[in-house]
Amino acid sequence: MAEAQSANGHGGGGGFELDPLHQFEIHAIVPIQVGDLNLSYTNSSLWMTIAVILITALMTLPTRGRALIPGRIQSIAEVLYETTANMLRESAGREGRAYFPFIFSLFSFLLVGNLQGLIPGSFTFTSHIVVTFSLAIVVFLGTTAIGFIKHGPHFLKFFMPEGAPIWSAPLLVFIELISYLSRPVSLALRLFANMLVGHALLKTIAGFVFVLGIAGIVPLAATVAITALEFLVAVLQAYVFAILSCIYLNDALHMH
Amino acid sequence: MNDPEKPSPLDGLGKRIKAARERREDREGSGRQSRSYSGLGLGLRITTEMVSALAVGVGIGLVLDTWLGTQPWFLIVFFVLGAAAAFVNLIRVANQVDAARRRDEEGAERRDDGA
Repeated sequence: MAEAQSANGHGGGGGFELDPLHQFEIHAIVPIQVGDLNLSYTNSSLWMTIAVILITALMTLPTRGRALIPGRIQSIAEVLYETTANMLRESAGREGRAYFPFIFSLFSFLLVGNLQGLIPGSFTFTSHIVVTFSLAIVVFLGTTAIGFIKHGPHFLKFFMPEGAPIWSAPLLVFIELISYLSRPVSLALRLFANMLVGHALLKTIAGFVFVLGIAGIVPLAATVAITALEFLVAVLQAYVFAILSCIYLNDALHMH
Repeated sequence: MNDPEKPSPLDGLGKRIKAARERREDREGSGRQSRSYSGLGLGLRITTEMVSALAVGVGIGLVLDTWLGTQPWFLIVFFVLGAAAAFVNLIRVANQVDAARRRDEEGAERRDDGA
């Protein structure tokens, strides 16, 4: 699949190339082949590694001094921590506190991943549905498992709205089941679509700048505005992904 | 700072932290989402919720059909069920946003009274 993508990407030929999807190409940096599995270390993996290193550095280095008055970098780390803690407390209550490490890792990974994508020439790993869907499926399976562990078979009541007449059960259970199964899909789709569309739009409009000559100042201004918007979207989408995970967790813990 | 005569600035800190924590516990609730959505964000959220419910319905229908060889009956049934689930999702999001807005308004009123 990676080969097919790169073949398409370079299909444009020489001359002036306008290929807004070129930036989403995955190419192997260290090719690793295990049997039929392609486990290559790709540019996507590289940026994920950078994200993890950045987060670890942000969390460990500034707090090394154990200063009473936090420095600038430590303040960033503390704001991130506080935001996540508040988000979890407000949406999942006290019992949700046990899952703070997971939500925090998820939020910071997505946040740094989204923001990294705004560095020119970088790769946005959240713009691939494989990545977002894997994360969403982890959240989905995790919350479902927590629901069954906490409530046992009572968790199945989740699929039958209270007070509904019994004859409508077969219909309602299927509808609720589909609604429940659509959660990871919508979670993955939203993040992926936002990142993909934003970056493709930015590249497309930026491509007009040189083509239009002096009138290129208009798309240039638009590019600047969209870049600002993209910063907002990057932060907001990481936040939305994390808060919806918290809400799903709350459903599993308290069943509404 | 180690001067025993001078009260350390940290003396009252434990008490202050405790008070702040209690205030926060009061606000603590479950399932609340105080952030009100911007129009664009809300639109995108509803779109993805509806599209994904429909996609899951169609997906289940197609899988069951190819598995049992009953084209196109399960697809039709689950398409309709998926559409219904899409509306369930839509109503759920609308209720959430509605509740969040009401809570924000109440909070604003309470702040006005307090001032």
